[in-house]
Amino acid sequence: MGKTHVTNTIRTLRFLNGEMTQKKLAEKVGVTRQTIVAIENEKYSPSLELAFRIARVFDKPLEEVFTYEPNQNSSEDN
Amino acid sequence: MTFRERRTVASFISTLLIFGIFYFFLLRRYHGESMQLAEELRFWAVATLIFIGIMVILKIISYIIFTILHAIATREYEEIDTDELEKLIELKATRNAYMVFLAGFILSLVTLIIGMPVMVMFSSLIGAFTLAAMSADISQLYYYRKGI
Repeated sequence: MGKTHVTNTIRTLRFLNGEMTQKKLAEKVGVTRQTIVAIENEKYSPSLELAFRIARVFDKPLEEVFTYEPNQNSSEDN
Repeated sequence: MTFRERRTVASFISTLLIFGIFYFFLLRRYHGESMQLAEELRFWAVATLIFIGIMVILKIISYIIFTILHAIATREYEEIDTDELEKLIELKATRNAYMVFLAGFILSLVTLIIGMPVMVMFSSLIGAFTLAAMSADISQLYYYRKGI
């Protein structure tokens, strides 16, 4: 629960796209505004399909919108 | 507080009210001392079924009323879309509700095994149903706030 390991640049990208509102982005990708808020606040990692849809709205590759940052103590790094 | 959170709080309060009012009137009609066992079993079985029916119907009505009142108060109509996050939260909340109900169901059977009256068994069952519905609301509120 809480913060996920997936960070994102949605807030910045919205700003760079003429201060696109969360509601507008939500409409474009077919979810509710609350879901966009949860993703922006990193309280929810979107499905792969939704992540692609968001990246497509900003015309960016997926890795420029979402970044996976595992814990430093994570065993995945070993 | 978002629309979803307010809706969940309204659902929680309505569950509590429905249970409280129903149980109050149920106890007024119950005369355990003057009932035969078969008659008492039938009374509680009917009461439990009526409770489930009333709970479902009144929850739907309260949900509609809340949506209308919310739209009037905020002058903004919130579309009740169910997206992937909402579905995931509902699934987790339902799972938690099932676990609470299962615990209550087992408890109600235990009351019979240890020789407690039928009234206690059925009251535990109705209580478990109510607590399960409330735990679903609490879970939803928690996931809305803390993320998933």
